[in-house]
Amino acid sequence: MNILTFSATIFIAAAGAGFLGALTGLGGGVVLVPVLALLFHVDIRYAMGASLIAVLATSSGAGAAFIESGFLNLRIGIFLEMAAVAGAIIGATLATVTPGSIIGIVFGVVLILSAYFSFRPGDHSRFTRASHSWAIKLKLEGTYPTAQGWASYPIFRVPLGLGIMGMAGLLSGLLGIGAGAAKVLAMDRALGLPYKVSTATSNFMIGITAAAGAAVYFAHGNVEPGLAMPVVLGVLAGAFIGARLMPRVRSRHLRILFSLVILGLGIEMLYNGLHGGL
Amino acid sequence: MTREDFIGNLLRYGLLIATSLVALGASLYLYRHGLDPIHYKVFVRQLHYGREITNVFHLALDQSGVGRGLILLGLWLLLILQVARVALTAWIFKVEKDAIFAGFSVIVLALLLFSLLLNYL
Repeated sequence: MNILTFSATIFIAAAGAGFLGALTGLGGGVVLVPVLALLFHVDIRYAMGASLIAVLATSSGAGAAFIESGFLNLRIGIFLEMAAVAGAIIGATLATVTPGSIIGIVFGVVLILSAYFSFRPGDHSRFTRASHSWAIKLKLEGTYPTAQGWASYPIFRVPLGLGIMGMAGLLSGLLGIGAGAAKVLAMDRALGLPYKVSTATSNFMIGITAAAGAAVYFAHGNVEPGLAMPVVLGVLAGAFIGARLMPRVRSRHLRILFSLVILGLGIEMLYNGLHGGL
Repeated sequence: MTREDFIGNLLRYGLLIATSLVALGASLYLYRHGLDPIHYKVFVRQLHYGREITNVFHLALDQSGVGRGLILLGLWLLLILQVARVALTAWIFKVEKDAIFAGFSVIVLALLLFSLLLNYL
């Protein structure tokens, strides 16, 4: 295959991933690496480099779109980012010395867990206590727009949220993904934030986390510009259209379908990791 | 302008410039090398491209590699954009006289700069 045909094919695949990722809120980056590595037989280190750079682009776009929406909590974002960036540096450094087969196994497990959690919505009814003492001291609590006007929300279990965020950063650097699902997990389940606040803040954060990993990837020569080009442009175009359509499309069935795709890719990654196919 | 507008505009225009560079580089790269066979299946460390930003500029100015050089410049810009928005966040918290969160932002900024320099020390 020549570079032109290959780039066009990758552009379309990446646009599909970005489109479905934005439409379902599950993020497109997580399917990019398996698609590139398993379907197109790209070296997994190149695939991770291209995917992480694409995360920088989509997070910047989402950040620009979300920041004026009122859902973003900048204080929580920057507070948790300390743990995420530290985790990302460790993860990306580990990635440079970890064999592809191990990366494949971890990747497979993460994909299967992502699919599992996407089927289980968070339960906020148990959060009836007052905010965690750190949240009060640091004034992390915020307000967000609802149908009944602006509502304030309490914040729980800050140390746990910080810990999960460090793990999310580690996975982002280790696997070349945004790890948005793990970030939403930390904010939605641990801190108990409203779902829309979690997703807006996560979208804003993933680019900053990914930057730490991307810096390490650049330095180790994992970024091949010819491959990153159609991936970045494709994901961005797909995500842009997906985000525009999101308010008008009932995405429940799509979400289930996309979760099944993630599950399938997870099993495939795990299999290839175990059998040395990566 | 509110603090959110500042960050929003930085991201919007930064992304626009970066993707324009990538798209321009892509057209040149495909024009010159579109019919070459792909070479992404075998990993070769892209050190002479990624390792130093000055090399990226040299590459962008070099006739034979101008397409890849411009793409790489755009990709680097996407990375620098994230550093810039953390710096802007730090500055905003400082203006709001919020010393603790300005400090948190500076810690994130320092970690990002560390990750950029880590492999060159």
